[in-house]
Amino acid sequence: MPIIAALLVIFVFFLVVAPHFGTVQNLQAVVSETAMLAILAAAETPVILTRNVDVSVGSIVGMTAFVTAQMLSQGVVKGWIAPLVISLAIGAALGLANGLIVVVGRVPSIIATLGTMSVFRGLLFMISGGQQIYAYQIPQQFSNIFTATLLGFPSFGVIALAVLVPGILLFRYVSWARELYAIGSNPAGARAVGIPVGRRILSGFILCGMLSGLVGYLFIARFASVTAVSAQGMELTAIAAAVVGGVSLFGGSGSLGGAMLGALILSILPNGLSLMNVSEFLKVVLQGVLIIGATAFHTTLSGHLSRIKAVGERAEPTTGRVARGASLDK
Amino acid sequence: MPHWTSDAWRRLTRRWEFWLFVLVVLTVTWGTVASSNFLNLGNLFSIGQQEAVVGLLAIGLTPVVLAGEIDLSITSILEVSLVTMALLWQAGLNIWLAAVAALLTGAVLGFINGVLVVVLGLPSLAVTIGTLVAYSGIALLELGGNAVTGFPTGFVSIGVGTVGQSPVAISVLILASAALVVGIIIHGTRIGTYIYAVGGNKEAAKFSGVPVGAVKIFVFVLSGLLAAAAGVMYAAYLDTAVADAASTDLLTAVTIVLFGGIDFAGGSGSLIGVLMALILIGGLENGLGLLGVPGQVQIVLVGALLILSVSANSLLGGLRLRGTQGKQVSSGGGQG
Repeated sequence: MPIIAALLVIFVFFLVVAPHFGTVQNLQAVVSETAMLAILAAAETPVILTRNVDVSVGSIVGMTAFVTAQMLSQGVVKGWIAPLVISLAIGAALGLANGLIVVVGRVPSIIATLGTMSVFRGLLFMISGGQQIYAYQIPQQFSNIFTATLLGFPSFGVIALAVLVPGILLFRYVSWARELYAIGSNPAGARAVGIPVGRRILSGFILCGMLSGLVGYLFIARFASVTAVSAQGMELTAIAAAVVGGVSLFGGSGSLGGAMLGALILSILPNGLSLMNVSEFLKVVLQGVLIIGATAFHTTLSGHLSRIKAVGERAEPTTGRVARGASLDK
Repeated sequence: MPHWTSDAWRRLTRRWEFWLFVLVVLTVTWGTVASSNFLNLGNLFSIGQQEAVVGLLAIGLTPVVLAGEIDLSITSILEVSLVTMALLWQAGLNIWLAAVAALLTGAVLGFINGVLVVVLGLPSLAVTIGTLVAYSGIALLELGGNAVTGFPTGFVSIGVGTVGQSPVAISVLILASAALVVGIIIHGTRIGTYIYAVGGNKEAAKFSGVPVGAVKIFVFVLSGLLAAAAGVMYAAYLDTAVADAASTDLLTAVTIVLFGGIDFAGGSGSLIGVLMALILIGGLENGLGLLGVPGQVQIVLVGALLILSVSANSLLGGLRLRGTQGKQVSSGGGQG
């Protein structure tokens, strides 16, 4: 896999060139920093695989973080399991809303989620009334989630692995996930062989919302203070990570593990470059260049395949419908 | 009623623009009843001034969506152009020359988008998500968290001034000229026909000899240019330049274009619809503002409007398709 090779090259490069990159503290920090982004990139995967995209995940993270933090501060929920359930439920509900708008309302996902990004954020403003949840209002026991370690491995890394491993198995062996690939590669074909396309896309959005809810939960443990603008803009980095990790915005190719590794690349690069004292300018522009570069790379890679497919399609006696479907693939 | 009238009536009521027009009439009636000052020319022009920035963005985005593409980087282009202009002026350049430099910057950034889409054959969604991040990074690095303010009075007047003693706002005239130019391009020239052809059916357009690549680069350059014009207008209207100037304007601009009846898949819709949507959303925001609804809550309504209008359009479009199977024909050849 090219993504692992790229990651190794970058890693070894920084080990050699960047001072202090290989220290235990720095690597622990990188793992903790990456975990939330990696889970959010994983969240995008089941959506992007079906030729959709969800730009509302930043707002979902903000909404879950705020509502759960408020319940924690008021003592409505205690411990760490009940808040987790609440976070996942809120995330799933918001994901369901996105999915229904896309599938039942027949709104292109970029438009639907651009709308809900603002709707969720605006609702959060109304719920919060401009108030902020401060760190002292969150039970210390809860904030300890972030600092805990397992055999020297940061807790956030463990949680990310707990998403990664079942995720890989799910996407490799479970027919539900295989059908997401089929839908992304050829929606009409998937429908023709009897895959319930609408329901599968809907479930992808729900899973995306749930994982975003998990990130909202981690957000509280990580930062403790939550405002109405928390996690704004996070969606773009998450989509970038998924794309860099090889999840194609054309749908039908890529993997959850790749998306999470893409997040790792997007965190290691600025980390290593900072340690090398590279200018801020390069670091920020690099992210945009990486998205475009990765898309170009994966497109060129699949270019031959699609050309062969296009010849096949033209040979069939089809008319406007195919052309119209093709023009929808923005 | 003779047959042809009912037929014409049916055709009229099937057009999205017709219902937008009904909404505009209803809004104006409601505004007039609610406040005696509403129809005052001064009030109407001040609403127009408020909408000039987002209006320029929406007008620039229209040809892109018509061509079947999307440009999510417009607000970042606005920011880079705005910041570039402000810094050049601060460094001693004449403000009007700095504004021209801002327009050139926008055109170049749009050209980069177009080249990435056409030459690399990438989906514009992916390209402009990438440039959205990259360009806003450039704006942030140029200016950081600082603000530039105190632009010359002559320059600020294009944002807040009027023509002589009349109530006619200069910014509304600029907006109207931009709409006229883009309207002529897309509805009255060969390039416009090409844009509709590319958006309606790219393959067919290519085989009919339409220079698909050139048309796409053109719409992205136009979109970049108008986003930069929106940046100049922003500086003139608010007399300030900051790096994160336009973060919520993307939603509003996309909403205006799609609520205005431009098909997200490309190939159908008209600029008149977009202008009526601009009037409606301007009126809505103005009315909500007068009622004391904060901006963060207003975006809930704008977001909901975006979803509802696109959903209504595609659900009704689906029904129309099933009823008459005429959508292909009408959307392909209706506007060109």
